[in-house]
Amino acid sequence: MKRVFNISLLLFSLTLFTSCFEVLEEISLNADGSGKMLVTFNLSKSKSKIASIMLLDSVNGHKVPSKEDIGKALKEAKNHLKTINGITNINTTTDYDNYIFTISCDFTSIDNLDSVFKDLISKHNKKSKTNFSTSNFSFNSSINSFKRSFSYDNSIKRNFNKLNSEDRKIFEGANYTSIYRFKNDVKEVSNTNAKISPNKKAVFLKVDVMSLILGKKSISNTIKLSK
Amino acid sequence: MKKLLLFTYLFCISLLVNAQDLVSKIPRDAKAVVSIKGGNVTDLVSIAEFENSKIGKMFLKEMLRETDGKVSNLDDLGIDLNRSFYYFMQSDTLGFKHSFLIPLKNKEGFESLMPERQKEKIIKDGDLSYFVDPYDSMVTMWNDNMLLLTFSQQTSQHNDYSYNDYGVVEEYAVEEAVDVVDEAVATDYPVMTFSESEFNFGNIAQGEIVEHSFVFTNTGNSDLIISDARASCGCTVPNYPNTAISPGESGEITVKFNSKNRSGIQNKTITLTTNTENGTETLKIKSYVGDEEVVEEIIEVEEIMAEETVIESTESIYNEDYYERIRKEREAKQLEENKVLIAYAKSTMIGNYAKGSILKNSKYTKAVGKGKDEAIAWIGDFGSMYSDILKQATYGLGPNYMGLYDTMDNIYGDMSVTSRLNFEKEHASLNTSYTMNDNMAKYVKAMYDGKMNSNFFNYFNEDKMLGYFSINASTKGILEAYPDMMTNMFENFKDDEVAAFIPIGMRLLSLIIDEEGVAKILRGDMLFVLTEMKERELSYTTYEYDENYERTEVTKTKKETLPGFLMMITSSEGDMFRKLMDIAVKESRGEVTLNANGIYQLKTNDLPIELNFMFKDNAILMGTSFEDMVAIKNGNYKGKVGGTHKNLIKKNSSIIYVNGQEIASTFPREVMPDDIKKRIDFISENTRDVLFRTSKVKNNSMEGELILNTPEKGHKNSLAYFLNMINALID
Repeated sequence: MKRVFNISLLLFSLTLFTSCFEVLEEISLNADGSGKMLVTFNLSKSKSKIASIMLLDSVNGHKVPSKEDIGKALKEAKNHLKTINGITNINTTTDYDNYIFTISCDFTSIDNLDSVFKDLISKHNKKSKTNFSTSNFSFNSSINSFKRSFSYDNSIKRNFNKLNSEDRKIFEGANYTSIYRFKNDVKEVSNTNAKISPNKKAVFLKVDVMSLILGKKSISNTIKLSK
Repeated sequence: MKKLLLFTYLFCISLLVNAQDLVSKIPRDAKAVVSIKGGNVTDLVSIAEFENSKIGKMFLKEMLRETDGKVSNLDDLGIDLNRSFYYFMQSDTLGFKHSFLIPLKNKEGFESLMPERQKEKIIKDGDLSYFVDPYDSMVTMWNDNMLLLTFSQQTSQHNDYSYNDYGVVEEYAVEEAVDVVDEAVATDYPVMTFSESEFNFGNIAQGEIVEHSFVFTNTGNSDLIISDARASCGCTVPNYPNTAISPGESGEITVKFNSKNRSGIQNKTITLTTNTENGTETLKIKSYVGDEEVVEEIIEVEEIMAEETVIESTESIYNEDYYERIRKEREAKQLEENKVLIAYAKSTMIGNYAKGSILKNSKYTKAVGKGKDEAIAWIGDFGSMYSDILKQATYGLGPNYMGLYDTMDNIYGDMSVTSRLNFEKEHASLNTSYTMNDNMAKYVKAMYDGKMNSNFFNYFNEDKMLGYFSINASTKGILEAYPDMMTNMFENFKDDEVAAFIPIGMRLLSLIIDEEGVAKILRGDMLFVLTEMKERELSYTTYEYDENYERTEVTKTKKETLPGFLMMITSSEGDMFRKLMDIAVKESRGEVTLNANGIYQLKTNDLPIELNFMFKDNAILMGTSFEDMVAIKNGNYKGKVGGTHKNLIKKNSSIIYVNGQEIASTFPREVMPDDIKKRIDFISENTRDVLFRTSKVKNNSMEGELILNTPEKGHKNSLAYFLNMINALID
């Protein structure tokens, strides 16, 4: 269970040594509440840096994960997903030429997806006395509203401030993008930074990681759909 | 005019007499000497200049805090910064003695820095004042002219406190020493003064748990340490502070008494193990468990009931006696050693040695010379120092154990090291020279007797290079000298098997290895050059989104600056190189390819750069720039290396050179935050280069030198340069 975090930790530790990386979160939601999720970590822009770093054992006192470490972590993540009801068709891809890693799955309801992280987050909250919302995704079928929850916790900033300036630089130029696609038309979105596509079927939100860390911008969003 | 000259002369002499150099206090047989020439340093950067620099201010701030506001400038320290500071070490078969000599302007300045309670510990002896640290036994001794810190480091096993310390033989000496202790430094003990040493809980019910705190004050002169507290009964639990209690400070011993399963009058003793004069302190608690009426009787029966205490604690007291005896023996021994050290310190302060000072040691005077070096470290004779250490380690195993001392002498005999730190106008240098005996010199000379391939100088341009690393050794020399050296080293070794095996083994080795054959493959000289910072285009993958936010993968390009390098290794085995590379081409699944120009290329995602290999004339070349390789192959590369670097590379056995200015100015600044950009700019404007040089063997000695060249403009000299750099770079 704990090991699922390894993948994010490992990928994060890779990003520690680079300045440009992208995280992409895509969800396609069907009318019946089932759907597909795809998360992409793209470190391609820093690939020469990563390639040189991966030749080393550690950088700035952080251990550099090997290809085996990354492969193992992805496999563990996959195994964790398999244990959750309603999650099927789990796929991972690795591309060491460009340093792009993906993990995708199908879900029968948003709740299934939510339970992937629920335990992990509540454990983390307890351990580190943080206040992250344990629910990330929810769907209210009665009012047809999709909600991406994210509560900012001051521990993010605190931990960030603990990093030395060399490590902090890494987050400059990093982006987090979420794209949610729906069968029904999008009526309104609560996040002012989010954009609705002209065909009203998709919501796009791109946030630079620095704003996210400093709490200046949020990725939480409530999306109301037509019935 | 003549009178003026005479006056100046006399003035100088009187200056010399007054400001006597402390070097005369170092005995002739000192094994190691370090000197810092205060005068040479203050010539470069005045005390006022230092105090006004950022680092000086930080230093003073720290001093001000440490001395409770007594020191606000360097002058207050009472130290004469214009004279030289020394450290020296003497060794014998028992261990090492280390001494620091610090010139003083007068003792008042130095003494005023001491806290009052330290001042009380000062012992006066004529014009000498001193005290001995109770923990590490370091002797601090001073007069108006100098301050001496001296301590001994015992390395021999037999001096450790082990079972044989309590043997009969030493008993007598110990007793005598104990007496000395009592007379000499009785005042140094901490004193534990209790407001009460007994407490009566009165009448308590059975099963009741009561607690009392005994408050004490350390009224002695040194830190009080309580190492243990034990009660005469398991029903009584004492708690004691486990940190040292400074003189004047107070503390508490909490005693908890559990009356479960007890009845009647209770008398319990608590024994504290402390570093006070007696070594132990005792406390008592009383109570009556049960009826209230009997309380009155307690006081009367008290004396008789004290019996219980003794019965229950017989064993523990026996042990305490035993440990106390050991402790006293140790202390006595320590005091005896302190006496020796104090006498040693006194003789150093007087410095009137029968055999003369270190200045009579020609090895020292020759090694140190009369240069304007700011600091010099000298180790006179490794051979005798190592054999002292060996004798310390093998004490009692007889003279020349296993022939090891002779072995050491073969290798390290007559070996000495001198390091000098020097700040010149345009460079700062740290020069270390090793002088070895004829035997060692012969081998080392052969090993480093290499020839640098002069073709290398046609393959790079010194105007663009960021640095280089050269090795100029001789593979043949190493392979020939190594077996010989090993045989020689173990010639006198007394272990028959080893003594017999090594020469045979080494002879075999030299028979098997074809020195010349190996030398053909790798002659022993190589040069690695960081050629230049090169910008190159790099493609990466990212995403674009259509109006409905469907994503498509796109490839974009960005520019990156990466350093390029060229490595050159002399070899005459071109055929072998090509055969090996051909195997690589076959086996690497396309990662290694042979180009039409005869250049092998390695492209793999495991490396952020591509590498090119080729054999040219008598060298293997490996580099990052394909264009340069092609040009070199076709003989139209325009190399440019001036005499300075050519000489450095050719005439030394190894050089590491870093062109700081070039690196700083070609550093990809645009990716850096603004405050770092400014610093990079400062460095590129104010840096020249750094050189680390290891010479070849000449007259039995080899030199290692680190040279930092500093810019001519804007800095008075290289020491001032460092201060300026620190000023600019620290926050």
